[in-house]
Amino acid sequence: MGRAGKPERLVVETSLTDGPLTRVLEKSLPVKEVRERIGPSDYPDFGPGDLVLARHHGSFIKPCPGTRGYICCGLQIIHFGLGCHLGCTYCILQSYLDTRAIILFGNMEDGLARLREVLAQDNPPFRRYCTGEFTDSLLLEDLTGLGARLVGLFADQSQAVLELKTKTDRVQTLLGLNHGGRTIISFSVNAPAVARSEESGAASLKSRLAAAGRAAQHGYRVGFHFDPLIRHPGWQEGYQRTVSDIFQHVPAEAIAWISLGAFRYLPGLKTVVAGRHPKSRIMDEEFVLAPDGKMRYLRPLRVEMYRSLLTSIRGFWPEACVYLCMESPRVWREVFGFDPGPRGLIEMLDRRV
Amino acid sequence: MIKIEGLRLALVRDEDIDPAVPFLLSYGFDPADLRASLERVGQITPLILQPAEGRYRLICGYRRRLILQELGRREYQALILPPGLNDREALGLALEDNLSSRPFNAAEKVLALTHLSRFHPPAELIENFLPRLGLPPRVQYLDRFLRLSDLGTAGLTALAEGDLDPETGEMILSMTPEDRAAVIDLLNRLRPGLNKRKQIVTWLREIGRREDVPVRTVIEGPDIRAVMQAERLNLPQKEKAVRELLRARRYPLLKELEEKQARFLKRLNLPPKVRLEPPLNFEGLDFTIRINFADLKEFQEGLDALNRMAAGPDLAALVELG
Repeated sequence: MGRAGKPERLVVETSLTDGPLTRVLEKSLPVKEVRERIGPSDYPDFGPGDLVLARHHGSFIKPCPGTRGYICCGLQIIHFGLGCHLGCTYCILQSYLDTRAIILFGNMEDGLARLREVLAQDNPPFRRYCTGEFTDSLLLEDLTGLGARLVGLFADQSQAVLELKTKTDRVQTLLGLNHGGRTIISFSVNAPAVARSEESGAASLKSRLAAAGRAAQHGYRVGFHFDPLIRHPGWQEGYQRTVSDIFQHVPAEAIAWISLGAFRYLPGLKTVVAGRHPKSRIMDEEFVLAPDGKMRYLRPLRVEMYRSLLTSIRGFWPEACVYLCMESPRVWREVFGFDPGPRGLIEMLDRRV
Repeated sequence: MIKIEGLRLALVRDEDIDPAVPFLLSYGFDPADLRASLERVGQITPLILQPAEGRYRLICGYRRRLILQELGRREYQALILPPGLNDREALGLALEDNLSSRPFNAAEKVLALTHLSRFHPPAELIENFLPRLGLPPRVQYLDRFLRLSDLGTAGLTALAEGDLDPETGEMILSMTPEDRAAVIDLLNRLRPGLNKRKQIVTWLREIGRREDVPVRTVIEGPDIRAVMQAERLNLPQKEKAVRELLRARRYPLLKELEEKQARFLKRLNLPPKVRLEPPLNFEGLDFTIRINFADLKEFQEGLDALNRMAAGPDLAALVELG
């Protein structure tokens, strides 16, 4: 298990009190409050320890919006909730969300029904789906079992795969399932020093890699996301160490892909980090405003990191599928010697699975 | 509303007033006008005192008493409050007395909110007292002003005199007293505007952290000292030069790339009506070329310049730089 604690109490929208998710969660958590309606403007009312069950009125499945000028991996996001209590210092959710509670969409059954409809379409294009965009895919797995249900749903899909992205080690409930090879369990990893100082609420790096090893033993393909890469004293050795540890825990052929993404953030996050994590030094490097409105490490610094990681990974497995998350064609060229173009990365990852 | 009954007017000797002021709400004030008035016509407005343990506590009139003391007076006209008035009511009275006669400076707002926080919950402070002090009724303002009480004498004096704004004050709270003093002194000497002040403090703080050195050693380093002592520079020039020094130290690689880019651009020797704009921060994807022309001759000159640029090595170097 990770080091993070569970939510302590439930806040439920009236219309969801008899819903299946509420009934499941009530077995583990006391209901603190029932509210007539809970909309996004109410989220700031809730704090750490609150698990809020709200009705989602928007789309449950949407493509990753990407950013013009940066190459996107083309994931489809299954949107079932917002927020995370792992407390990583760099977390971009801190600047996106007005709450430190976790919001779960209590009408998740509507979302799953919609997903079944989409998957059942005739001749659908190949799609990769994930749940870990606005929260951690397995953060509440012990409570909700959503990941396990999704694994079952994707098991017999020929045109779709599921990627569960996590910084926890909560894979136990997934291990005995018939996954049909259609689920990739991905772990966000970092250099040991960063994992210790900036991801203190997440599972330890060792636990994450051990969980990855267990998933691989049960036939899952696993992914690793070095995201965010953070420059810190000894970063090269630190990241090399993590790469080495990955290949000690997981056979290379079980690894679907490894992504690299340098730390980037909306400018407003700097103030949040200064207030919530005053000892963190993650903002002290040379960042510049990029055309996507985010602060990014100056390009040569990013390229240096990507090249270092790529060399290290290829040293263990020359055929490894390594890609950059949300990077410009120019950076791709400087790291890989080519850029995959707008569709190239999507096709490359589709082919991997 | 505070209801007070049984007020009486009395002449009170200075030695009968406790020197400790329970609710000090004055900080860094200019006594000139009040002194002139007291010299001219004497004490018109009485002090407000409260009996306590055989003496009197000064509730309102700190400034008046201070100046009258300096003028050699040893007795004051005073309104004596009933002894049953509690501290919360006494503070309310002091606050109203002060607010009715003058606006508070930032340091006085810090003092007022610090006193008030002993008797009122945060929600009440935000809703009732922040607007009364001319502050937006938001929790971050309450937090900020309460934290600013840790600034110490030099910081509060700078706040009172306007050399430091509350936001910048909050930024330097995490510094050591020595570093804070050096920053306040630098800002006092440079007098930058609000945004530039925040920029200077941000860079100083980040340089200190990046290089693991005290902020004051950055300020007292030879580069900044040379700028501050340069007689040929006026104040705005010094302020600009200090900011350039700090930026170059905070962003050394960016500065190096910018200097390289500037050299290549200069070597292109483009005519005034042809402009080459590299991508923002070496990050963007596209270079932009602009040609302004008034007639075909100028247009042809622009094209010729572009052709010369394409044939030379500096454009390739610029593109390589990004």
